[in-house]
Amino acid sequence: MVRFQNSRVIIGFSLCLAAGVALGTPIPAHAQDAAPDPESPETVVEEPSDLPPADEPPLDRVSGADADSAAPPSPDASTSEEGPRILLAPGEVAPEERAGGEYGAQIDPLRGLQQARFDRAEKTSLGGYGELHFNLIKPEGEVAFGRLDLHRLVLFVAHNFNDRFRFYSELELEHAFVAESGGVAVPGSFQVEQAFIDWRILKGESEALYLRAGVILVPMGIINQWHEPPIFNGVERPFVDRVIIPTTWREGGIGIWGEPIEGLRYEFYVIGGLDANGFSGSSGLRGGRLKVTEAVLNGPAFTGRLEWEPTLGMVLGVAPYFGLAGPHELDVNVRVNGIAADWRIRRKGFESRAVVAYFHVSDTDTLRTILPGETAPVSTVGSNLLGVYGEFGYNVIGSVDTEMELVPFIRLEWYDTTFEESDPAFDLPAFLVPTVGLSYRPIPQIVFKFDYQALLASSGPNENRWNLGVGWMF
Amino acid sequence: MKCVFNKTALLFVLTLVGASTAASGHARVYYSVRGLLAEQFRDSERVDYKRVELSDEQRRRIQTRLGAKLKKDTYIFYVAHSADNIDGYALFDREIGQHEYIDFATFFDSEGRVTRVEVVAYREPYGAGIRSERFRRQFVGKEPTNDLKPGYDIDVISGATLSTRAMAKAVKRASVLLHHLVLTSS
Repeated sequence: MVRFQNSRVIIGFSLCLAAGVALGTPIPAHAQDAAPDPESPETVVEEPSDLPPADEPPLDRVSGADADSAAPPSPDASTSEEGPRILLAPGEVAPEERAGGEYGAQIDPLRGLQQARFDRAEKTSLGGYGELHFNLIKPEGEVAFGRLDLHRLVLFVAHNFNDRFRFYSELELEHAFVAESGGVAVPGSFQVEQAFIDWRILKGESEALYLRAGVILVPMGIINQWHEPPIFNGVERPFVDRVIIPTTWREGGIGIWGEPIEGLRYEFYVIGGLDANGFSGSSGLRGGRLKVTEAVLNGPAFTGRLEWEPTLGMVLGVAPYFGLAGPHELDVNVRVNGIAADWRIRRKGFESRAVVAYFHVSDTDTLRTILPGETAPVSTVGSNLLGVYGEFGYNVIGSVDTEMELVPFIRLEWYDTTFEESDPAFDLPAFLVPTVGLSYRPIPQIVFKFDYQALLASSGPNENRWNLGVGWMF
Repeated sequence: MKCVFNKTALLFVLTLVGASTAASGHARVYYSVRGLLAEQFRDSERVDYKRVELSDEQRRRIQTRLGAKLKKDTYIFYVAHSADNIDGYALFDREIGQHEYIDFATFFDSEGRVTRVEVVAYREPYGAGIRSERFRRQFVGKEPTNDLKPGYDIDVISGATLSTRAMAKAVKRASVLLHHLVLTSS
C-alpha cells in the first residue's frame, strides 16, 4: 500500500513544495538611499475637507458592508451613542469580508464535497519544512566517512473548517525515497507525524479548552513538538531529543489542551502506549514506538505538559509520561514512566534552551530473558534512561537593522541509556557530547548550519562529527 | 487503535458539517473598523479619513526605508479630531503571518508615536498569542526611527515567531507610512 501510493505522493509533494517555495520567496530588499525627504511631494486624492459638514448625521454603515461600494456615504440615523462621529472610507474592506463566508451549507448532500472544493481551498493551508545534511563521521581508530542525506522533507496540510474546528497534519518523507533493493529496505520512510482535529470547546474568544483527537505528538522536551530546522541550532537534532526522548514520538489518542490564563498552557492526552519488544540498550525506547501502524496495542499511556511563560521570551515546561508497553509475548506488561523538563529563552539576541529527561522501564529482568528458539534477549533496554543538555547562542548581528541572523552556539549534552545499570553485561557507556556551531538565517525561514560534535564515551571509542546542513520551513 | 481514531475523526467531521451552518467563517474577527475607531477615539468629536495614493517617488523612498515592497498603491489613514486639534491617527493594514493574513490596526498620537496596536482579525491556527496585552504594549511609544526587531528590540511570544514578526513589520510599515504620507506633508 505504501509503495503503491508513494510515487504519486512524492510527485504531488514535490509540486506542492515547489509551488510553496515559489509563493513564499521573499522579495529582496533594496538597500539604497534610506534617508526620507520631508519635502517630497505627495498625492492626496481626498482630504478631510471633502467630508460632510460636522452637523450632518454620521455615517454608520455596518463594517461588513463597507467592502462593496464606492458610492457616496449615506446618513444613517441609527447612531445616537456617545463617542465620535465616524466616517468610514468607502472601499475599505472590512475584516468580515476578508474572512470569507460560511461554506458549510454549500456541501451538496448528493455530490459530497465536490461543489465546495474550491471554496474550501481558501481555508486550507499548505506548509512544510525540509533539511539536507552532510555528515563527516570519524570514529576513533577508524577511517572517516561521509554521508549525504535529505534527512526530511515534510508537508503540512491544515484546514480550518470554521473558527472552532480545524485539522492539522504533517506528512514526512525521510531519507529521500522509500523502496526495497534486493529485498533489503533502504532507510527511507514515509510517515504520518501528526494528523489531528482540534475543537475549541468554549464559545466566544476563550482559548481555555480545546479537544484534540488523532495522531498527536507526545509533548515532552522541545524538539519533539517544535522541530522545524530553522528554529533549532545544530544540523542534527540533539542526542537527548533522539535517544532519551524518541523524537519524533507520536501516537494516536485524544485529549485536551488550552491556555486558561495568559502565559499558562496545559495539555493532557490519552494515547497508545509503547511496545517493549522494540526497546534496546543503545537506542532506548526508540524502536518501541507504534507509529499508529496497526501495531498491537499493549495498553494506554497518559502524557501531558504544563508550560509557563513568566515573561515574554521565556518558556518553562514540564511533561510527565505514564504508559504500558507489553510485550504481549511475555507474561508482563512493562510500565514506562518518565518526566521531562525544559526551558527556552530568547531575549535581546541571546538564546538558550535546556532539556532534562528521565524514563524508568519496569521488569527489565523479564525483558532480558531469551525465549526458546531465540538467541538474543527480548530486549536489552536499561531500567533507567537519563539525558540532559544545555545550549547557549547569541545573534552577533542582532543590533544591525536586518532580519538576517548569525548565531554561534555551544551545546553540552550528557546521556546514558543504561543509567545506574547493575548488570555489567547490559551496561552501555554514557556519552558527553559538546557541540559548537553556527547558524546563519538569511531570513527567519531558511537556515544554513555548521557544527562540530565530539562524542566522548565513558568507556570505549570516541567519535568526531562535522555536520553541514541547510533547512527551510514555510 | 487506528480504527477507533478514524471513527472518532469521522464523527467530528460529521458533527461539524452539521454545526458549520451556524458557525462563522474561519477567521476570528475581533473588531469592526467602526467599533475599534469608536473605542479608541471615544473622547474625540469626529473621525474622518485621508486617502493617499502613492507617487512613484514616495513608493521608492518608503520601500527603501522598509527594505520591503509595498503591496498597496493607496493607504487610508483615519484622523481623529476635536475642534481644530488632531487627536490621533489610525491605519488598518494586513500582513502575512505563517500562511494567512493577519489584520492589524495601528494607532498614533498627533506626533506619530504609536499609542496602540490591535489584531483586528486572525486566521492562523496558531500564534494568536500576539493579541496579548503584554506583547502589544511593547510597541507603544515607538516612532519611525525606532527599530522593531523581534527577538532583539521586541520580545517574542513562544510559538508565535512568524506572527510576532508580522506584527513588527505591520507596525513599522504603518509608522513609516504615516510619517512619509501624512505628517511630513502637511
